[in-house]
Amino acid sequence: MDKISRVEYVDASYTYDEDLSEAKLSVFEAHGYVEKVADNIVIIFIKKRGTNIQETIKNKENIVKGLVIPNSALISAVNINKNKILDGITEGLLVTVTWRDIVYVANTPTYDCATMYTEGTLVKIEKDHIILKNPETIRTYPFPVKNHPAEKPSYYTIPISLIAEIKVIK
Amino acid sequence: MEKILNENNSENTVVYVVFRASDKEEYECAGVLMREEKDSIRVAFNAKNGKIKDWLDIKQTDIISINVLDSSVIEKL
Repeated sequence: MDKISRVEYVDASYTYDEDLSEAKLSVFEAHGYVEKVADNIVIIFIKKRGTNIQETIKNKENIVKGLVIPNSALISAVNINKNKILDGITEGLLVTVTWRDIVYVANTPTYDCATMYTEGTLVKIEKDHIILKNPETIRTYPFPVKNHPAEKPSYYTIPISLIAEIKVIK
Repeated sequence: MEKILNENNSENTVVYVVFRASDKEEYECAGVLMREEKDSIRVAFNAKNGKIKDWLDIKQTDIISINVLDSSVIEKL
């Protein structure tokens, strides 16, 4: 039997509520078969009986059900993350943020995370997350490129550990 | 089958289940046993701020085996 893990991680989230206090960092807990693939962590909830997850991934076979998270989404990584990505960035600026998103998988051979691009006004910087107001978010990978969500929310909360790049527009 | 879930226990009961699905294939999964009824069980895989997001209901008749996992065998990441 493959080893079973309990994984605690953070994910980005959005809200249509106009109250900024409703925009919070969400903490998730998952159980499953876990395998590290590059800088991602594949968590498999359901697999065919007797299959080996390393073989499944090596042969690029479908994951029956699971998710893929960036390794930086782990709570253990969030708490020790000391990157300098927000140096020179202050609240009130209009920014673009490129970040890695968690992917839910069902019957596809997906082993990497999505890449997201969000533009909005930076209204809050906390120790482990930022909040953008009036954000527009586009998933740029995997294809097809699309808005996420389709309708613009009021706020987007993004864990700092998931951010790959942040640029100031004005 | 003897009941596994002790509703007075505040700790999660993590189970390993082998089952047969509607496609006649056999699958296995592990998760928190949320519900255990005469006809079916509910196994949760994922929760957001303590609220269940992903789960699977499995008919009792489709269960091939079910075992409680001791916390010592579950790796914490």
